[in-house]
Amino acid sequence: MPFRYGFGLITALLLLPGPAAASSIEINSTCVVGTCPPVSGPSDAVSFGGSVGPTAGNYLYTFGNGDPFNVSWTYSAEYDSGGTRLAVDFSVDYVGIGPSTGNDSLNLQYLQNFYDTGPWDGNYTEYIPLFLSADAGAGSTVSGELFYDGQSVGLVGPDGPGTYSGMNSTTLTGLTDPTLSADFQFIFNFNQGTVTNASASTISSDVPEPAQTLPIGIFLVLSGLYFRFASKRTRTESNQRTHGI
Amino acid sequence: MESDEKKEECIEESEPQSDRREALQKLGRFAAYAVPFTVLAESKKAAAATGIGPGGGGGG
Repeated sequence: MPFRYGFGLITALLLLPGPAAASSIEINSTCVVGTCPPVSGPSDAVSFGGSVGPTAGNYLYTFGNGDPFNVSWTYSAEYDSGGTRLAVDFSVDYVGIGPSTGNDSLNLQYLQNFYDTGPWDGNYTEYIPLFLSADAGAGSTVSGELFYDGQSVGLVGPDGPGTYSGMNSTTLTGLTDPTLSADFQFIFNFNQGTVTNASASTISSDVPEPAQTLPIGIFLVLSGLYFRFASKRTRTESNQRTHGI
Repeated sequence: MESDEKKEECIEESEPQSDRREALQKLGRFAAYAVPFTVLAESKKAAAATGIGPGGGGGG
């Protein structure tokens, strides 16, 4: 019988929710994931040794003028002896039938709290890749900026159509609160005349890097050599047979 | 008789062509396998927007 109770107790403990390590996503002040802003304190933060994600999701955001955009994301965060790390991919597609009717500005935010005794003063680095397709309306732009407790690490952009990336490092001070609030913010402006399936994202170009194309190149060269050698050998054998050698 | 010999020679000569076709088919098959390899090599996660910071007083 004690075994039975023990088993029940363990099962109940396993079913209890663990310490929450939540993240939040906000689109133009509409909270679509978690609590916006996250609650201060350990209950809604990543503590030392903790992590969240990677977690993916998407949301169809429609402006008052009727222009619809599909927003998708993947985020993750962790905190260990290496410090705090967070990563987010935002991808936005205009999914309207026909060109957009107005200038549509999307403010995308990934909100992530970390919790420790503090202070959190030190050097912070951001890496922000940006992409905007050429079929976005004239004058469209993309930009990104990471804030910790309201202090900016640096603005990347705004940039027009193309692929960009920016990296900034900044020493932040005055971060004395045990809760460190990270706010990764992106502003994607799609101007009037944006074509269906025009897109903006925090993912850099889909074109493989030279280092990645190298193995394919080696494979093709080796295949060519093999083919040439095999062909030549067969021809020689054939000639030998033909001439009765 | 002589024409028969020539015909045989022609058949013999066509072997490299069939080998070439076979090799091309093999190459095509390998090329098909190479496509997912290319996709795997392209790491979109590496291109995510990232933020790195120091630890707080307790953990860091």
